[in-house]
Amino acid sequence: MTKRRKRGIKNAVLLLILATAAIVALFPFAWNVCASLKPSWELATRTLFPRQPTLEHYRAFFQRADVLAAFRNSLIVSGLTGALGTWFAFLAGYGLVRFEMAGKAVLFQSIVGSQFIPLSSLMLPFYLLVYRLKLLDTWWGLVLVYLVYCLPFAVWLLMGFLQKIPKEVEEAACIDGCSRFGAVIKIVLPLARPGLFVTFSFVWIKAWQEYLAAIMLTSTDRARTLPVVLAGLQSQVSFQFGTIMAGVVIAQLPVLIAFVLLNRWFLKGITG
Amino acid sequence: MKTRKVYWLSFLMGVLLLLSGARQAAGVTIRWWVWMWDNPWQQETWTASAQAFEQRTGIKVQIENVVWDQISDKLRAAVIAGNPPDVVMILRSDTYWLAEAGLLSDLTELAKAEIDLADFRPGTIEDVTVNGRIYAIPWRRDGYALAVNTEILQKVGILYPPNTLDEVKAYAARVVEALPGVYGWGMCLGKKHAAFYRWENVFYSYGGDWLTPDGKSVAPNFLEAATKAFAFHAEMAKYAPPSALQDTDDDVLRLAAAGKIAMWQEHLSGWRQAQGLFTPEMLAHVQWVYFPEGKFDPATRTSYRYTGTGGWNIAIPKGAPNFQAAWEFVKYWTSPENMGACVLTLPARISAMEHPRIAAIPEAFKFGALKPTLTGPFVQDIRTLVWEQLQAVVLGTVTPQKAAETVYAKLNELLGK
Amino acid sequence: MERSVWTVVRPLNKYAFILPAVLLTVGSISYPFIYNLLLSFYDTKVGTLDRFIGFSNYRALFSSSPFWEAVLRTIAFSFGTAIGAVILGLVLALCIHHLDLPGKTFLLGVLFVPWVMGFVESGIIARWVLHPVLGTVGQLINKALLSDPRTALATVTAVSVWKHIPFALVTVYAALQALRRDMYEAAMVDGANAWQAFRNITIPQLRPILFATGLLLVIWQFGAFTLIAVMTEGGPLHATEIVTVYIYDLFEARSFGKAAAASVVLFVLACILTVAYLKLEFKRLVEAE
Repeated sequence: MTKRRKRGIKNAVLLLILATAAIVALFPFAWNVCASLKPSWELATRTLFPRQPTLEHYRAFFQRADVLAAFRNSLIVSGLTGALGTWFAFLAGYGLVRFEMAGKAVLFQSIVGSQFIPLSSLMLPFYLLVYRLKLLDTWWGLVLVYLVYCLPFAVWLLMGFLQKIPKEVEEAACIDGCSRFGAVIKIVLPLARPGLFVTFSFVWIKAWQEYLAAIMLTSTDRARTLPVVLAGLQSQVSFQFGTIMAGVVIAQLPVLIAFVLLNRWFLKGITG
Repeated sequence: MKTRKVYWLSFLMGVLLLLSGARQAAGVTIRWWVWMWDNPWQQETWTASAQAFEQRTGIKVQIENVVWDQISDKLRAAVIAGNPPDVVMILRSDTYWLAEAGLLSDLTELAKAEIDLADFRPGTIEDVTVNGRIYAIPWRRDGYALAVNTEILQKVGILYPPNTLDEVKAYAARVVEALPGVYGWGMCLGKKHAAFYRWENVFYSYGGDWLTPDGKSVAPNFLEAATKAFAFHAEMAKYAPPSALQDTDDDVLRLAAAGKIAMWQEHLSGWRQAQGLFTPEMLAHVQWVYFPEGKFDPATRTSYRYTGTGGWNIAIPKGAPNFQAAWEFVKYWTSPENMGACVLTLPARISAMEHPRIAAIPEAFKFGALKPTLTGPFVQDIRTLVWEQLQAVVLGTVTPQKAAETVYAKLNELLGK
Repeated sequence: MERSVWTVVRPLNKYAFILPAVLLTVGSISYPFIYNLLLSFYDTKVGTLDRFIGFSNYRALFSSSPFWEAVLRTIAFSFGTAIGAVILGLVLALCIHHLDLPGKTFLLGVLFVPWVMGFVESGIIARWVLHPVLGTVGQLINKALLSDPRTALATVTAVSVWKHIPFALVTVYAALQALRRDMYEAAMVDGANAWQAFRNITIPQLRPILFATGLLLVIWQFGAFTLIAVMTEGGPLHATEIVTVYIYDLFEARSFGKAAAASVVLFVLACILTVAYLKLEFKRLVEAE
C-alpha cells in the first residue's frame, strides 16, 4: 500500500470517529435550537426539525423586561470574575512557581483546595457574609463568591503554563537590573498570553453558567444574571417550554460567539 | 489653584449626593418578594396594580422576583441576616414552618380588625393560623381535576368520562388493550411534589384523612385509604407509559398534547398551560371533569371525590422595616377586586370568584371539592416518604399494604407516639 | 561582584504576589466553612446556632444506611465520570492529533460545545432527548433509561461524562503538543511500530496529566448536584441519590444541623482524595523543574 493510501485510510477512520463524536457533542445543542423554533403545539412531537418554524419564543423571551438587564449583569459579572481571576491567579501562580517561600506547600494546597468545599452546603453562611459586607444584590457580591471557586482552578491552570516558561528568559531580558515586578509585567505576561487566554475562557464560562449563588445573592434587575432568569421561566405555574428553549440558546450565544471568534487564541494557548 | 478647583468640585458633588439621597428618603418604599413572573400578563397586571397602590397611598412598592421554590430559603437567610423584605408571597405548605420558626410577623389583631375573614374560603384561615395566631393572609388556592381525552375513549367505545376510580381503572385497561402506542393513564412519579399531591387526591377520594381533628394522632381511616391509594397507583402503572417513573407533570402534559394519554390528573395551572401547548383540535377533545369518586358512604350519602388544595399566602416577615406600610399593602392586595383581577388560579376569597376572569376556568376546578393538603411540621418528611413508597409499589418491591403501614408508622413516630 | 537581581526579592513583595489569591480563596471561605462546621453540632430548624447537641447529628448519619448508600453512589458517579471523560478525552485528543488534515481547530471547537452548556439546560435537554416516548434518542433505544433503577445512575453518569469530555480533551491535547519529538524519532530508528511507541513513550509521559485531570474531575463531581437534581431528583427509588441530593433532602426537611454534618462528612471524604491530589500536583507543578 502506498504511503498516501495509508494516510488516506488513517484520516478516514479518524474522521469517522471524530464525526461521530461531533454529532454526539452537538446533538443536544442542535435539538435545543430546533425546539426553540417549534411552535408550542409542536413541542410535544418527537421529530427533530420544526415543520413550521417560528420566532415566537424568541419574541416572548425578549419581551420579558428582565432579559436585557440579565444579559448586562451576566456579562459584567463573568467579565470581572474572568479578568480579576486571571490576574490574581497569574500573580499567585507566578509566585508559587518562581519564589522560595516558607509554607509554600501549605499555601498551594489551601488555595487550590478551597474549591472542593461544595457551594450548596455553604449557601447560608455565604449569604450572611455577603450581607455583612453590604454586597447583596450587587455585581461584586457575586464576583466575590465566584472567585472563591474559580481562583483555585485558575491558579492550577496557570501554574501549568507558567512552569513551561524558562527562567532564563526573564533573567536574560533584564540585564540592566529592572525590578522583578517590571520583568514579570513586561516579559512573562506577554509570553503567558495564551495561557492567560485559556484561563480567562474557562473562568468566564464557569461564572457565566453559575446558578446557585446567583439565585441566593441577587434579588432585582440590578444584579440578576441569566441563569436566574432562565430558572424563573420554570415557575411553579408554567413551564414555558418554548421560551426556555429560546432563552437557553440566547444564553449560550455569547459564549459560543466569543469562542468562535477567539478560537485561534484559545487553541494557541492549548497547543503552545 | 488646582487644589482649590478640586475642593470646589468635591463640595459640589457632596451637595448633589446629599440632595439625591434626601429625595430618596422622602417617600416610603416597601420591598415585596414575588415569584418570577409566570407570563407577561402577570407582570403587567401586578406591576400596574402596585403602581395604582402607590398613586393611592404614596407608598412605593419595589417588586423583587425570586425563583418560586427558593423564596422560603431566601427569606430564612434574609431574616437571620436582619435584611428581610417588607412583604412576601409564601407557599401554603411553607407557612406553618416559617411561622413556627418565628420568621413571620403576627397579624392576628390587625387581621381580625381590618379584614373580613368570613369572606375567605373554608379552611384557608385555619391554614394560616399557627397556635391560634394568624401569620399570613390567604391569596390563592389551587385544585385538581381529571383531564380526559374523549377522542381516545370514544375510539374504544366509551362515551362518557369516568365517574368513579374503578371506572378509571377499567377504562385505562381498555385503552391499553385496544390501542397500541396509546396509554390509559398519565403518571408523574419523577417529581416528588407532583407525585405526592396526586397520590393525596386519590387518598382523599378513598375517604382518607391524615390526622384526627385535634391533630394529635393519625386518623382511623388512614390505613385503609392509604392502602387503596397505593394499590390504585400500582395498578394504574400498568396502563401508564414506560416513562412513568421519570416523568414530571410537564412530561405528562406533553404526552397528552401528543395524544398518547387518555386520562390524567391535572392541576389548574396545567389547564392554563394546556391552552398554549395543545393544538386547537386537541383542546376540543379534552374535557376537564370532577375528580372521580373513590368511596361512597350510603349512610351519610357522601361522595368522596376530593382533591387536595395548595396555594399561596401573603405575609409580612419578622423584622420588616416598614410594617405599617406593609400592612396597608397586604390589605390592598387581598381586597376582593384586586384578588379577582390579579390571581392566576383560584382566589382565596369567596366574593372574588365572581370576577369575570375566573369565569373561563372549568367548573371542575372551581367547584370541585377541596380538602387542605397535609400541612404542619413534618410535611417534607411525609412527602419524601410517600414518594419513595409510591415508587417502590410501582416497581413491585413493596406491597400497597406494607407501603401504607410504613407511612403510618412514620406518622406515629413524628407525632411522638 | 554584581548581585543578580533575582536572588534578592524582598519578602514582602514575594507574599504580595500570592496575597490577593489567598485572601479571596482561603480568606473568603473560612467564615462559611467554620460556620457550617459549627452548625453540624447543633439542632436547628432555622439555620442559626440554636441547640447544641454534640455529635448527635453525626451519630444519626453514620447509623443511617441511606446515607452510606448515597456515599457509595457518589463514589460510583464521580469515578465513573472521571474515568469515562479521561478515556474518551484521550481517544479524541489522539484522533485529532494524528489527523493529517486541516481543520483541527474547528474540530476542537465543535467538541468543546458540551462544556459551554450550563448544567441545568444540559439536564433538561438530556431528559427530553432520552424520553422513551417523546425523545428522539429515547424512542430509538426504546428503553426508559431514567425510569429503571438499574440504569438510572449509569445514564446520569453518561450525561456527566458527555459534559466533561471537553475538559479532558483540551488538557490532554495540550499535553500531547508538549511531547518531545526526539524520543519518537529515536524509536522510529529502532524500528518500533506505532502501537509500541504509544505504549512506551506517549503513555508514560501523559500519565501525570491524565491522573491529575482524572483526580480533579473526581473531586469536582463529589460536589455535583445540579445535573442530577434536574434529571431525576434522586429517583427512581434513590437510584441516583448521591450525597449532595441527600443533603438537599435534609435541607427541605429543615434539618439544617444534619445537613451541615453530612456536608462535613462529604468534605472529609473528598479531603482524602484532595490531599493526595494536592501533594501530587505540588510535586508536578512546583518542585519538578
